[in-house]
Amino acid sequence: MSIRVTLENVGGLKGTHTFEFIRGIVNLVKAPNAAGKTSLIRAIASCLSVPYQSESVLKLAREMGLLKQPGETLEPLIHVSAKVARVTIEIDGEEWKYMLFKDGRYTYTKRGDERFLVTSVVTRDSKILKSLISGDTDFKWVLETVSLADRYEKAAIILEEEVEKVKYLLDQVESRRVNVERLRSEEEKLKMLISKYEHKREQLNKAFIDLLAKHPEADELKKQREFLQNKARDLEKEINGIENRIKSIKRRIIRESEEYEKTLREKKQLEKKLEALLSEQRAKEERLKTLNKKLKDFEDKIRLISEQIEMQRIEEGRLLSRLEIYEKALKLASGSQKVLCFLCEQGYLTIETLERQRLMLQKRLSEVRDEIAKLISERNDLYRARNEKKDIEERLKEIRKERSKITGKLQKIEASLVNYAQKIGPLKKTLKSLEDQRNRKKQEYDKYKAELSIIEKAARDLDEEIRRVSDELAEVRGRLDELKRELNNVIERLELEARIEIKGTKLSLEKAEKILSAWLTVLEDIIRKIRTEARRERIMAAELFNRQVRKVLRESNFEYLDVWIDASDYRLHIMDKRLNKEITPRILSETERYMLALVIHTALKLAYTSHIPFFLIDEVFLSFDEVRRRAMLDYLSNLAKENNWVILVTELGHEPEIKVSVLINP
Amino acid sequence: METSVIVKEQLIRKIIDIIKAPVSERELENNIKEEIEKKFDELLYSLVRGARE
Repeated sequence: MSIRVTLENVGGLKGTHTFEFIRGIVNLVKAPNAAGKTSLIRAIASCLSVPYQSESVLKLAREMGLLKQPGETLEPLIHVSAKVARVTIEIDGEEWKYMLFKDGRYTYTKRGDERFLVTSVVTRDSKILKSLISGDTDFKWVLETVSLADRYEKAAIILEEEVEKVKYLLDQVESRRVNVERLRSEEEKLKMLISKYEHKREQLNKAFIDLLAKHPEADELKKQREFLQNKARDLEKEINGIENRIKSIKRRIIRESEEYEKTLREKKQLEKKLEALLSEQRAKEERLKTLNKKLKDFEDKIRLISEQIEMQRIEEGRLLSRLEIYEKALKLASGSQKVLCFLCEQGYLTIETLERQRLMLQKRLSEVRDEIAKLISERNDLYRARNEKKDIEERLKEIRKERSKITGKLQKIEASLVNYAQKIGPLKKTLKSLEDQRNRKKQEYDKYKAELSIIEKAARDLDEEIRRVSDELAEVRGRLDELKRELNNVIERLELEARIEIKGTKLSLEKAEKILSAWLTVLEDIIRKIRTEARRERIMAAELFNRQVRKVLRESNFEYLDVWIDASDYRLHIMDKRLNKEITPRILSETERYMLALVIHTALKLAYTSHIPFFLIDEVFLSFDEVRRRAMLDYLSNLAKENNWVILVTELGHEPEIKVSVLINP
Repeated sequence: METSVIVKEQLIRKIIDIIKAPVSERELENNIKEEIEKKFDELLYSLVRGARE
């Protein structure tokens, strides 16, 4: 019976390649390096292990080059020139199709078994081989991959996450319970405080009412104060009115007084002038009397004086003639002592006589002329007196006229003065009366003010007391409001805190705690159970592995070794029976390590994936000597036959293409 | 039997079924979470109703 494998653009194999493998024997695949041997192995491995259901197997598939590593761009199983790789495996008429796309998606027609990767693919990069080389004997991962332990663990972790959430909710419930207790205590305190403040408010209310009751005059006081205030205001207005009138009257008095003073001054001036005129009149009249006396018989005196002047003038003429004669005689007698008498013309006159006579004549002439001058002066004096008299008479007329005028004026002024006096008098009287009135009103005003001051002080004291109580009451009311708000706030918070929402249902803290605790118990019980199952799975897997590995060791001529996984620590133990000593894989030779890896894979294959008729061994025998190679191939041939598997062994060949040959069991 | 015991038994059975089902890890996780949620709802409903009654 054969199995056909068709590859299309897989790895290094471009185009379609079909391989026929025979079941129940070892199929040797020989080809030089880079001919596509490994691609063939990987293609079969991928097709039979998809889908990779656990993260650990997916990681293993990446490490084995079946899928690209995160960050890489090319899928390693797809030929570089193709967009998709196709793998078809026909087993007993059943077809397994697997398609891998460049973007990492893959499709398959038949579900494989992801354990196939761990159990049935032995390469030089096998993780089990690497563990043996590095000496890492922790095989828990193997047990978890091949059994359901890993999935049980995963379930337990998910349940633990749920447990954490429930614990968190329980913590919240606890925290809320604490909050509720605290809030209840706060509520109690606030209620006590409110009660205290309400009592205080009542007391203050009573005190306020008492205060009003204790002072029934409060209203009366207010009325009285208002009455006094009104009265004082009215008086103030009245006083201001009176003051204004006083000012107005004073202004009028001043104005009238100024007029009076002016008129009085005018009167005095006129009186002074009149007095001057009277005095002048008297003087003039006195003078007139003198002049009249002097000018009595004026005409006669003038005539007489004129005649006397005429006589004197004649005398003056006569004297001048005689003087002329004597002048002439003297002139004639110039140089002589004697001259003939010109009167008698008989005798002689001496010069001395002549001179004497001339002096006498000149003296007489001077006297006459003085007399004439005196008479003329006298006459002029009379004329002047007459003119003066006329002037005086004229002046007297004027004075009389002026006096009469001034007297008239004075009479008018006198009338004006009387008028002013008549005006000012009543004004002064009114002023006096107003001032008296004002003073009276002021006294009244002062009295009201004093009363008002007393009442206002009383009112102020009362107001102050009422205000104090009222302020205190307002403060208490404010504090009460504040406390009530606080209480409401606390009650609201209490309502919020006392209930918790779980999955859309509001529950009391007690109920929530009950449900969550029940749920927590359920979850913890399940986790315990799941963990037990996981452990059981691992133990069973270990036991199965141990049975199989001992069988394989026995059948493959490794009887001197005992290999097992301890179910307590999940470590791989190797015992050299010859030495009767447990050894570490690191002391084994390379070939021994390869052989041991092959044994472990075979045991796993037998234990878990014997139903998949493929066992893939990729270039594992390169370092084997022919004896060991032959021995191993012999064992594998028996294994293939017993299980009807295709055991596919790749080896380095010299033909340019892949050559599949059948290894006949000797 | 007490509700929580019934719920627990049912949930264990469900989880084991899910673990054994050939599904990916992500599906496993989602299915288990879904089942946990469902069972908690049942428990919640039952206990709340019980408390009300």
